[in-house]
Amino acid sequence: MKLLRLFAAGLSRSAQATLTFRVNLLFDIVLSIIGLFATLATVFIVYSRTDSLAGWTEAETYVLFGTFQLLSSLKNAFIDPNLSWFPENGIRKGNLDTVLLQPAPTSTSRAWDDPPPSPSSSSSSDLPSSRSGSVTTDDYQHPSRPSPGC
Amino acid sequence: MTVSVVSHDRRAFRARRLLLLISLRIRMEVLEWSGTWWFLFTLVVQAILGPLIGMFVWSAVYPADSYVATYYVALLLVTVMTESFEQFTFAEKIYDGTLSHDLLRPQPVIVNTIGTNIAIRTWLTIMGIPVALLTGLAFGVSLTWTAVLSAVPVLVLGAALSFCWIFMLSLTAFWTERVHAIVGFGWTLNSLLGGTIAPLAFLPGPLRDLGHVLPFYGMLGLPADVIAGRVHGTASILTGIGYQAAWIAVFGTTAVLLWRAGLRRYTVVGA
Repeated sequence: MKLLRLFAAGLSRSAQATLTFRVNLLFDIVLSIIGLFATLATVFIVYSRTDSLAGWTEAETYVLFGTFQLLSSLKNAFIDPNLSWFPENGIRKGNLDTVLLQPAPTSTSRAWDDPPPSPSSSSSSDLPSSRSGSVTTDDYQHPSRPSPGC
Repeated sequence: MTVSVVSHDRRAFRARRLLLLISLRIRMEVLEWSGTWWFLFTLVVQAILGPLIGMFVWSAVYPADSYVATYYVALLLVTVMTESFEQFTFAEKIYDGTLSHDLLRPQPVIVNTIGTNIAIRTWLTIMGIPVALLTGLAFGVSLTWTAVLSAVPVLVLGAALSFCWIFMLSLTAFWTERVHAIVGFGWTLNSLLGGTIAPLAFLPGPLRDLGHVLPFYGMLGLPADVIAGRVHGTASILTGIGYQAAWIAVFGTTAVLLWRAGLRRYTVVGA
C-alpha cells in the first residue's frame, strides 16, 4: 500500500512537471502522431504495390504494427525515461547515491521520478540513438565523444 | 579599375582563408573522431538499417527485379555519405552556451559546423563502403563506373542539400528546446519522400510527382537512382540538379535569416 502511494505521488509529480512545459509536451504529442502516420503510410505504400507481403495481408500488417506500437508505447512511457536516466545521471554523474540512500526500494523511488524536461536533461549532447520507429533521439549516451567546441 | 582589382584580391584572399580554415577544422575533427570508431560504427549501423529494411521488403514484393537491390545498395552508400547531425554538433552549443566560444573566434561560426559535418561523413563513408560492398556481393549487385561517376555532381549537391536542411532545422534551437523533435520530423519526411521507405518510382502517382519537386528526393533518392542507372540522359540529371540547387538556395537563405534573428535572441550566463 505504501509502495502504491509512492507510485501515485511520483506519477502525480511527473505529470505536473510534464504539464508545466506545455509547448514541449505539444511537440512530443505532435511528433508521436506524425510517427504513427508515417508508419501507416509505409504500410499503405507497400500494399499499394502488392496484396501480400511474405504471406501477410494488409489488414494483418496493420494489426501487427498496432500491437508493436502499443507495446513500444508502454515501454516508452514506463521504462525508457528512467532507463536513459541511469547511465549518464545515475552512474557517471554520481546521482545514484541519492536514490540508493532513500528509505524506499530503488526501483520504486526511481520508477516515476522522471526529471522535468529541460535542454540539459531531455537531450543528450551526444549523437543520436535509434531512428527506427519513433524518432526520439534523446537518450543516447556516448562515453568518449570528443567535444566539437574545443 | 585599381579599386576593383583590390576588391577582387580581397575576396579571393577571404575565400582562400575560409577554405583553409575549413580544411584545418576537418583535419582536426577527423583525428578527434578517430578515437571513437566504435561509436561511429554504431552510427553506420543506424544509418544502414533503413535502406536494408527497405531492400528486404521490396525484394519480397519484386523478387525478380534487380533494380531493388541495386537501388538500395546505392542508397545505403548515399545515406552514410550524406548523414548530418547538426542538431547535436551545433544546436547543443546553443543550449549549453558554448556557442559563445565559437562566436568569439575570428572566423565564421559555420566553419566549425562544416568541419565537424565533413569529418563525421568521412568516417561514416570509410566504414560504410565495406558494408555496401558486402551487401552488394550478397545480393549480386553490379554497378557501372559510368553511372557511379555521373552521380558525383548530384551526390555532392545532395550532401550540401542535406546539410542545409538539417542545419536550418537545428537553428530552431534558438527558439525551442525541442530541436530533436523538429529534426526528427524532418527525418520522417526524408524517409517517406526521400526514397528510403520506397524508391520514388514505387510511390502512388500523386505522391511520386510531389516527391520529384520536394527537396527530399534530391538528398537521397536521386543520387541513388543515378548510381543504379535508373536516371537516363543528361536532361533528367540536369533537371534533378536544378531542383537541388533551387532547394539549397531556399534552405541556405532561410538558414542565414534564422541565424541573424536567432543571434539577436541568444543570451548566455557565465564566463
